[in-house]
Amino acid sequence: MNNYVLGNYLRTHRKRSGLSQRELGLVLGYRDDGVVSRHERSRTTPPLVTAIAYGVVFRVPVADLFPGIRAEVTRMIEVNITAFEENLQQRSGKGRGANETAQKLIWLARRRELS
Amino acid sequence: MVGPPKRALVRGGTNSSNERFPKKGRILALEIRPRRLGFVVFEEPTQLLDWGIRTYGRPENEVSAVVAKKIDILLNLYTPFMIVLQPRRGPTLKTGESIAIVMRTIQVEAEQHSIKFEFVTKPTVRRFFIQYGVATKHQIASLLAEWFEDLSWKLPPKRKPWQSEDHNMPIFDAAATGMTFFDVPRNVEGQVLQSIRNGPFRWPLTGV
Repeated sequence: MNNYVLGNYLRTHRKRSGLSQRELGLVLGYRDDGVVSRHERSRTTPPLVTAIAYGVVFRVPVADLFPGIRAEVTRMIEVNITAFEENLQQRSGKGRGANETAQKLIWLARRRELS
Repeated sequence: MVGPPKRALVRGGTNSSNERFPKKGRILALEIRPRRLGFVVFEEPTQLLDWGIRTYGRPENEVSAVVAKKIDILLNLYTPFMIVLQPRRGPTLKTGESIAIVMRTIQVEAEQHSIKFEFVTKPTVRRFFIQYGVATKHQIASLLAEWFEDLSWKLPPKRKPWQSEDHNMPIFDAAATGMTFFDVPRNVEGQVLQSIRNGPFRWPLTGV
């Protein structure tokens, strides 16, 4: 079954509201009709301010509006953090930076527990 | 699965073939009319992603190309795992030909996107909704508007005998087809009674 994560739920929320793409664009402060369409089709990624504005308009957390971007960012960050943690674990437990390394590893372990 | 509406592919009143397809996932339900298509994209049986009408013009225009383009946009945007629709015939030979072209085009598009394709017959849809005490198109549409708040503002007024069909009615017909495909039993408040993973649904009237 092909049920991939959608790039965003902008279109669904807009349809629910009954707003047209032009009307939503005007609310967001765009004069170009095509901007909302491009965001809905994930042709372009909205800038941070616009993404927050979508969240404000629809009263939905931004991360929930863009599950595709969230999934991609999550995957990338987890890969980076795993590599960073491996690097920390290889460091010596003695010397000047030992306490800092230990603190970072504790934070990483707590972070893992939260997820 | 792509092909003509063979008997084997048409879902009957019983649910003997329920295990053939996963009952959860994104589907595109379509309803064909002369010159326009109603569509509903289900994320799951309880959630709609998108809905609307797409027009494809008169038969003398290039119906196949226009429909292919419009379906292609929906398939690329949502990548459903299944397309479901009711097999239709036109009221006249000309519109019948046009509708046949549209159905064939949809099948070809589904095949090109490696998306399964299934017909759900009108009696199957009727049988699904009769258990909720609704039988007419308007009653079914009203029930769907109750189940899906998103559609409620699109619900057309009850049609008088001398009036033609409302522009938005194909959306509700497509939603009815989609719900029948999912076979999700609900109570009168529209709450899902049984998880779609809890085995095949049994018809309350027949116990089949």
